[in-house]
Amino acid sequence: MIEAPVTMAIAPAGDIVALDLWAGTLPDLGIRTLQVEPRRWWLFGAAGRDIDIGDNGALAPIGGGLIRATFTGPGWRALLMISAVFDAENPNFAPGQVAATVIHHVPVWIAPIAADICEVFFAASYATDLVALWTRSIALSHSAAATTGHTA
Amino acid sequence: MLNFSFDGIAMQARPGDTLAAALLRNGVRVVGRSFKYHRPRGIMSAGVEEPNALLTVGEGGRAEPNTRATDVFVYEGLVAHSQNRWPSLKFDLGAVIGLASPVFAAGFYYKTFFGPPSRWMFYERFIRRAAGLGPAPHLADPDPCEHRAAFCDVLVVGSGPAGMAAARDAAQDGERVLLVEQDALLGGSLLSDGGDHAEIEATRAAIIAAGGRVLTRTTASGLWDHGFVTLAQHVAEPGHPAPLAQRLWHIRAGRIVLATGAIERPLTFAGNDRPGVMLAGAVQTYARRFGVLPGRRVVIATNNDNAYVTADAVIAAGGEVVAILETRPVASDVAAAAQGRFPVFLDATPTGTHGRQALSAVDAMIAGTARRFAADLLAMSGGFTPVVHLHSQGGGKLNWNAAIQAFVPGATDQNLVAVGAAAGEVVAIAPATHALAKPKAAFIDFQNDVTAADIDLAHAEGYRSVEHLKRYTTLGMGTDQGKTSNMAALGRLAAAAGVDIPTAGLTRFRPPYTPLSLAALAGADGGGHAAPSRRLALYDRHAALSPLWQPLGLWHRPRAYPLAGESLHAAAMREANAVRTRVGIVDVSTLAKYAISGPDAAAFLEIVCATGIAKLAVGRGRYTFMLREDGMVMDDGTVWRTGETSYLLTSSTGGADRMTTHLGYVQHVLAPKLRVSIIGQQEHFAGIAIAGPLAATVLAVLVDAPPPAHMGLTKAVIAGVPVLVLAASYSGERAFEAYAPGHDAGPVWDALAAATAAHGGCPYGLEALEFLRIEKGHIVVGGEADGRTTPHDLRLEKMLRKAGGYIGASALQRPALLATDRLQLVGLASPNAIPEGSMLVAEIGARVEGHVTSAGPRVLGEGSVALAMLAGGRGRIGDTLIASSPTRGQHASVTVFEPVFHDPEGTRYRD
Repeated sequence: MIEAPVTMAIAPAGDIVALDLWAGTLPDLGIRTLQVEPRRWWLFGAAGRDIDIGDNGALAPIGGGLIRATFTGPGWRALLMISAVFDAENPNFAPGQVAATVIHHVPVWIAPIAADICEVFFAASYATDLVALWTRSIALSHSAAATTGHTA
Repeated sequence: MLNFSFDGIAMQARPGDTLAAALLRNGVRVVGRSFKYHRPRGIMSAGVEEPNALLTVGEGGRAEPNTRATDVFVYEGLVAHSQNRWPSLKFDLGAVIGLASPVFAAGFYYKTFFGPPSRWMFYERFIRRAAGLGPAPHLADPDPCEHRAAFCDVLVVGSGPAGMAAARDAAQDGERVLLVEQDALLGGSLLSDGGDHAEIEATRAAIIAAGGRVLTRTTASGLWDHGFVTLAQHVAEPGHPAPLAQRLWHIRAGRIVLATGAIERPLTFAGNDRPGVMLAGAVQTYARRFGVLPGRRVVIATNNDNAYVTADAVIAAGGEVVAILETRPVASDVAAAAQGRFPVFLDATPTGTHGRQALSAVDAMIAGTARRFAADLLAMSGGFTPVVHLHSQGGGKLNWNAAIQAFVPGATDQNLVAVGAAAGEVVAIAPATHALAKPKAAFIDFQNDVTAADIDLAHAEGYRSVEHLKRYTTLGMGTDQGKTSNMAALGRLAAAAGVDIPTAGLTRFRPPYTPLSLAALAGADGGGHAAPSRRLALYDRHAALSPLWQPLGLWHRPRAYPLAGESLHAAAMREANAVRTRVGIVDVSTLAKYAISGPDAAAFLEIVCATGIAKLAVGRGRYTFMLREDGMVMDDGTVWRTGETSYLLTSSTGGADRMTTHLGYVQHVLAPKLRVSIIGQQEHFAGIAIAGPLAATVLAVLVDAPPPAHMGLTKAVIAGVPVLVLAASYSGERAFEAYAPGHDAGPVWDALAAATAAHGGCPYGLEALEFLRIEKGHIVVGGEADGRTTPHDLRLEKMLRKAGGYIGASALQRPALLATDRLQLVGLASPNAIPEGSMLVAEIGARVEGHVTSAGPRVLGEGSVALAMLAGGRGRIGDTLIASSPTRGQHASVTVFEPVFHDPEGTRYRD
């Protein structure tokens, strides 16, 4: 149960390629990138592009097994605290940052992309349980005003 | 008004009433029967420390036994029942035990019910029926719970005046503040001390306006290391239908302020457990907060000044103060001031109570003279014990404060401070000095029916340590964990031992502070195992075939696809037969897969893998295995050279997480300078294996390119989806693995399934896969490679890279690992079923020489085959042994063979 509204959209993550660099810095590739580890980036929409990184690193596709959950609304921060261990409610956690953490026992990557929009990536095999958790929590937030027995 | 029922009797409560307040409002005095003696018990307190008033609240799966009536707020339709009585609360046959209470002294069970364990099991049935708490519901709770994390700079536990002030100040200083209160209202002691409600609300608003968070009905149940605190929040009251019942918070706090207050202590005297005997502070709370006076004629017994506030509250509520029994021989200023308004008796203590099921009179000894007062309420105050539980749980030391006769928070390594009453800011008391009359009737632990005499007896029998005393008498156990009894018990023990209380010692405070339901601990995991379930990318395709599912770690994979009326075994045999004679397809998506790339990729793999890698040609693959540093086989799989500097490494499903960790360890710790990238692709690729003599034919139908030779690879397109085709066999037949991006794999499966069916084949599951690989003598990680086996043990030594340099190479040179009597992989055959997991013996009762790791039927022949680990197995070919499983009563005569029963030359998987 969360206090602020949020909606969820679930879809295959699409074309994502992992890039590891063992030398140099990430060049401007003209596509969206997400730094998920100190020397690893995810490239979005890289398929079919000639990604020139020279001998500085290597690429491998990973999108075939990833799910992208997109949360819209101010409630995303509270939602991502449920069965979680990362401080998504910290106001300093903002677009441009990525958190690799665990929610409901599932490894996830949390990427805020705007004040009220956040993407969460996770392995497709976990989708059923994780999406069920979020669906239930969002539904609960809609019924938060339901009677709880507190009359004081 | 709110309607509720107690033991089936309809009653009404005011909004905001606790169940205890509502019961008192309705004139209910007896609310339960005591744990051991079934004595009638009434409400003693107004807080979570309540030892007596334990009720079952709610019905069906929502029923919550042992709920403190003082810690549940009445809602419309609440249903409550008393516990531990039969046939009724008023007439309880169990009370006959109370008549024999002198017999049931401390240690009764230990002294009486000794003997063989089987006899104890007999006794136990009757003991459990006679004593106990409310029964747990048999139905599942329909309302869910959840876990939620939160972080804060300052966590304030308790919303009394000290807590509210601390939270407000921290919030206004810009800190992230979380204020938690176990009550439904903020204010703590202010609620019964006549505090200003408007001021409480203004403080709450100030905290929230400054960005703070306030949680009511939330109890800090555990304080762990490094500022980690667990909170239990009643989102809904016990038994109340709700979309969310409870929430367990996991709080990481930078600083913790404990404003947890203090708990009032009872006085110890004969008959102090009679309904109508209450804590003075509770009487004050019921009168001032709830507008309920639990009695009209009130005797107050006290050793401190606080009880005089209760006297004022009784008068204000329309009651009569019959007497104030003041333990102290000299009046304090407060007592002296009250003497004009109340009948205050100095040097006075209660010595007994009267009444059938509720109080009617109080006996007292006043300066050596006995007196009796007609009264229906006795309000007692033995002083206040600071709530130091959380401080102690977090490893904090406790210091003794003689003035208040209680322990207070001392040094702690945590960033934690106690304030207000929790820090010891409570009234001083006069320690009891009067001899106790009738100690067998003077209760110290009300919940466990432990009397002063029980403590005396335990001490006399040698239980001098407070820890031993606790276990011998059950003192301080139960749902209240001795909140009202610990200090009185320590005082009694110390007196018996002739020492002071700190010397007598103190038992350790352990979480949870108040009882926590298993549902709250389980959170969203309720209803199944506390772990997620992983679904295959092709789950829907399998589900459409109604397979038998097999859990494999977190995964669920098809075990077999039975046709109508077909057993698991029959289905698996049919499927395996199809693979041996025609063709089958199986989902192998769960295998671990890694893209290993970079100029140093081969060098990296030659550290990880014990087989040769560098000479592998582009477009070729090979079987490989990995060792731990101690030389034991850790995992196995295949490695494929997909480009000049790129490889695909596969390993077992069950070892996937371990392998990921291992590869990271090698990359970052052992070989940090290698230019190599390791990217997991376990779920990027869904994998479908096509196996059988017609596998190449099936593949040729779907792809333009010729199927690759055994251990070759090619890129192809199936059903419009790009796939990587690897020619590898686990079944012993010609076989391929088609890897397609997980999200696109459905059409690939459909195409392969259709082509397979057109050639007389079918999908097969793990059971058939197991039969096939056992016949072929392929090991499985976790079965034959069980963490104790070397490549030599598993007959893989010829594949070891002679140049060494791989992890585990040096360990393999240890003589013990080359001993010829080690357990070594062998095959077993028998005309009968071979029990899997059985031990291998020369004859029944003889020394165990090995064990069966995997067993199954011959797919095309008669009888069974198995893989086994047998001492000196290489030299035992032809021996006859017994595979014996005494726990299952299964035995089979087996003959030892080389561990390959199917196509030992490997001709079937080569074109």
